[in-house]
Amino acid sequence: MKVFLSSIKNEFLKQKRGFTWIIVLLLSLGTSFLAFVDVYLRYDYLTKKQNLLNTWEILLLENHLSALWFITFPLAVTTICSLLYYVDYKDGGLKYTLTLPISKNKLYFSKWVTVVIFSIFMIILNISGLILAGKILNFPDSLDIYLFLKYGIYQFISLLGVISLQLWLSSRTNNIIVSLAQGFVGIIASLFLAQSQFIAKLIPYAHILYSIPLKGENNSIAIQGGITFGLLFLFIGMVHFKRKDILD
Amino acid sequence: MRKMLQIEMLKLKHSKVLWIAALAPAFIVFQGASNFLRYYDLFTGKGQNIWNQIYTQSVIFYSFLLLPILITLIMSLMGKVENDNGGWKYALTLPIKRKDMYISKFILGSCIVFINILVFIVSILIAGKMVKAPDPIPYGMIIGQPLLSYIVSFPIMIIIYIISINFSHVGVPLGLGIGLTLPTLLVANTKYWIVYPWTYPAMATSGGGLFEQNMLIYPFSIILFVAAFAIGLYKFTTKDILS
Repeated sequence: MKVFLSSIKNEFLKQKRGFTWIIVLLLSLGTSFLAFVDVYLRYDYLTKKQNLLNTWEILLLENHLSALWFITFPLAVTTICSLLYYVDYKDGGLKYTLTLPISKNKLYFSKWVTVVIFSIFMIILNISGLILAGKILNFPDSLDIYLFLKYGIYQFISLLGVISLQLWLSSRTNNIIVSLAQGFVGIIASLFLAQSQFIAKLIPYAHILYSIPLKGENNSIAIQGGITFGLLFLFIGMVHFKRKDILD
Repeated sequence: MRKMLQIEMLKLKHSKVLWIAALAPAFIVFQGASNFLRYYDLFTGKGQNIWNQIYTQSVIFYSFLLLPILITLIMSLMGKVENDNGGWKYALTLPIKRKDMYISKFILGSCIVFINILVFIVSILIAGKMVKAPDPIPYGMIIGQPLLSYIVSFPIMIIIYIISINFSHVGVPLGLGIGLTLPTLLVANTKYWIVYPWTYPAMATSGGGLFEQNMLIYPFSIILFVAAFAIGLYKFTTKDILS
């Protein structure tokens, strides 16, 4: 257990000089800033158009859709997964990491836990940014913390599928561009293919679209899909990683 | 110069970049066409042109998101080949002019992006045929607009190219390119889009009917491209390579 925890700490140390923290901070706070500017400029238009929702829900909707958080977040997770392997590749490959007294399964799982922790940071930063934006704009409605709590949890569960899938895809190739491209094209193509709920159940990239905690949204797709695909690709990734011969 | 181009092509021979360039637009068109098929009655109910609808569905996401992201990936790859293995030291000890290296890498990158655009056009034509859309095919729109958006995407290409050559970490041009791509939808709606080159490909295709045609982008993009190309060339030929 101690070795496992120290390998997670090791993963974070490897990212210290890299870009992952910049991505985590910039993208999550940047998106809440974009949502803030958007609601600030279009306040009257938005409140008139969405008269069924209160202002906090409008802010959440704008963050998720207009500020493209539903694309940015999977994009960021894809990049973090690829960067995790890129840092290893640049420093001479996984040879050195594999000399440690830790099983390959636990190593792969520690990478997974690292990405999960990064994505939790991103969700917390984004939601804090949104709450701050709402306070600055002096919304008339009172803050409903449960709304944001549900939003955060739904998002996190729905993204487990992407995390596992991208971690597996990034482990298959040394070239960061290829793993990034697989993720990006997958996200952009599946976000539209997933307009029918039936197909959306099968595509992990699309589950985040169903994570908005408003009435009339089918959140079960997000939760079931996230857990199913998260565990499935974690398992596939671990088996593949264990069998893989690290030659370089 | 021709030899330089051949050498650069050899460096990319084992890379999978051409597959990425080729397959990605096909994906987008596939989703555009399937989107169209899903809402078939909604789109053709008022007797609109089927070709228009398929094209519009695909080009919105292509010009706003996919094209800038693919340009970022391809141009970052151009610098990555040398940056990764300490290659600048070796490449620049050869008896070649630095100017030739700079120009030939850029030409190769822009050719791969051009292949990307061609695949997009061909995919739309194939998708239209598969949906059995009736003639006449609006060739002007399907072939003309993507080619125009290729021309105005040169500023994006040159900016990412310069950044990828000057920074040894591949994450810098990737992150900047993708980070600047994400707000394009919001920026394109404001009146400041003209200073933001990432909105130019979308504006050239008039965002699939979302925005009006604006002739300003052509002179702007040409001026921006020539200026950035000259600055990049000057910096590359005079810079001291230490790593």
